[in-house]
Amino acid sequence: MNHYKEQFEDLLSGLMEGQLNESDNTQLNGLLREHPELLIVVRQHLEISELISHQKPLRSSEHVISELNNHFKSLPREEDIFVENLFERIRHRRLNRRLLIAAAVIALAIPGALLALRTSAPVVAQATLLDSSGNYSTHEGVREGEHIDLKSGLMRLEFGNGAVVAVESPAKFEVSSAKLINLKLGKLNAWCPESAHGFQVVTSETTLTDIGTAFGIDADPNGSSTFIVLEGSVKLKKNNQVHLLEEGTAMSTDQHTGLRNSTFETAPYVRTWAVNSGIVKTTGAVRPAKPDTPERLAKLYNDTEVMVIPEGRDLSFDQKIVAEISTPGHLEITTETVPTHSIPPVAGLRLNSYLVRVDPESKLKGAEHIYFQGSVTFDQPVIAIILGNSTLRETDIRFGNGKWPRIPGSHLRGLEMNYNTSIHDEVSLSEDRRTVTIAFQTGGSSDDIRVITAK
Amino acid sequence: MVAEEEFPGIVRETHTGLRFYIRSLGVRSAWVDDIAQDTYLLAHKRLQDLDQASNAIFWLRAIARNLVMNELAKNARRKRLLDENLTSILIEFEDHRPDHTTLGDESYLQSELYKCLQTLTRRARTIVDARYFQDKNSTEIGENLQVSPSSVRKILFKSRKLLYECLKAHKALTIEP
Repeated sequence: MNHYKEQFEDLLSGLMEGQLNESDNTQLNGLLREHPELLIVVRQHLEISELISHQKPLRSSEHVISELNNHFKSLPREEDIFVENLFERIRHRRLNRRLLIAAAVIALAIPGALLALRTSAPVVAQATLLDSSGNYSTHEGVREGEHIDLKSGLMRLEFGNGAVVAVESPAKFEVSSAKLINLKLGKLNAWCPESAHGFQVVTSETTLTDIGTAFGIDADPNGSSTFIVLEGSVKLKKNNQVHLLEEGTAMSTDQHTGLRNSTFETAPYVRTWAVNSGIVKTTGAVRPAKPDTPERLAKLYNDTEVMVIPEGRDLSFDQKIVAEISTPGHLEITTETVPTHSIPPVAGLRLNSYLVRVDPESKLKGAEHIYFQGSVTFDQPVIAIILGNSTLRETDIRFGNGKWPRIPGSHLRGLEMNYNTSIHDEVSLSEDRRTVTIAFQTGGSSDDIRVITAK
Repeated sequence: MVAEEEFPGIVRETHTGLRFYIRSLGVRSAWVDDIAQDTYLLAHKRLQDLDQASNAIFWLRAIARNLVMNELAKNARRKRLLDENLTSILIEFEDHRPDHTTLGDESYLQSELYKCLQTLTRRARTIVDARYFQDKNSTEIGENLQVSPSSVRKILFKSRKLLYECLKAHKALTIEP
């Protein structure tokens, strides 16, 4: 980049925050006089920041017009007609908006989701509804203070601060703010990155505060709630009781008793955890892994199903990835070595990793093989599929869940050419890069592939 | 001539575009609405000067521009401007390049803005949220996310650029002479 452009960008960034001193201002104005084409850029940045600011409640249309009313009201009598007209207009608009929303809810036929409150409050999360078959049905912004009555399917909420929450029906909750959910009924699974620490979920009498974690809550309207921590820790507070709940543990409460230890049971969160983790849909022998702590997930074995195990999440793409598959298409393993591709890093992209694995646990003898076939669809595009023994090993520390290598015989865990059968392992990536289809011919050692998605 | 009862409708139709324009002249964000209100008060007094409602935005822009120029003459009130010299340059530039960014329908604009925000990376969205919705500066954002303030400013710069291009591509805003 030209030196002056770099300098201009720095100065304009400072200007937008109101942090330029007199000398900086002089420098910026000098640059603008010398390069008037940069004035268009200044305009654009001012305009777009204004537009984003309009989404704040205090700068919303209704607030601005109401303020204008107040101004006119303080003027002499002749302005009264204007004020009356303006108020009338606002009343109509509010009514129209409510009617439109009611109509939209009916027209969209969102299964069971009644977005009951629509105000000019800011949008704090983006909601995606999934029907019972795992198909996305709608996608829209959720405003601060919005009450949601989810009667079927699942909802995934992505908050501006990075928190991701998945809720399974039947559920009733309020998105009270960008950092607070009031859960009346339903199963909820949340993942909070650093930027969302302090995120809270309030059930009937208990407040859960995130301290850097993934957790689940199952609440019923009678006041009973169960809390489990899959990763990190959370703080639980009920009346005068405060507990720090650590990874792999659970507590429960009801309207008559305080918080007490309970069994770490993850089965209720199978669907919410998968959706929260970005696994939209699986078919055939492929299944999302049962939710668990990263340490236990790293040791997960299953000889009857191919498990999709979430690994590293929201990782920066700051170094290249070496992978066997980097573009849509079909690969059949018919040679001893599969060529690899180097995918260069892209600043700003965030990566999620998933291990797709089946392990027959030495139940098979000799030349016995089991054939597994199925697919998994992710919420983000797949940029790499790693399937060789060495490429898997090389990426374990970067993307994996636990300490590697830890599994006996793990040097043979990738896909390899089968000498004893004419049926080969196959992997396909769909044209839209969301679906990975596998056909594994699994013998005495596990078959693993690592799928990397990016956003 | 525009009738009195048409004025509330004009306010409703134009206030987003007018505030957008006022900001593009280098007015501080906190003062944009204030100047927009002054513009409407003045416009209402002179309503007989407006020939038809469809020309209202151009007429209102001219009034707003004069109000901003008045700011340059009032030393005590220059706090409303980011920098008076910058505003002078922007007004001068407008005389040579009178093309303006015109906004589409407000609800469409809002829905497209949210769609465009979704095209940003999660980190960029977090930073935009912290800057524009939580009013944090780049130093505070940097501390929270453990990145340098200059990286935050770079991400904000890039995000604003991407959002502008995205809205333009979706025809939520257009450049008109």
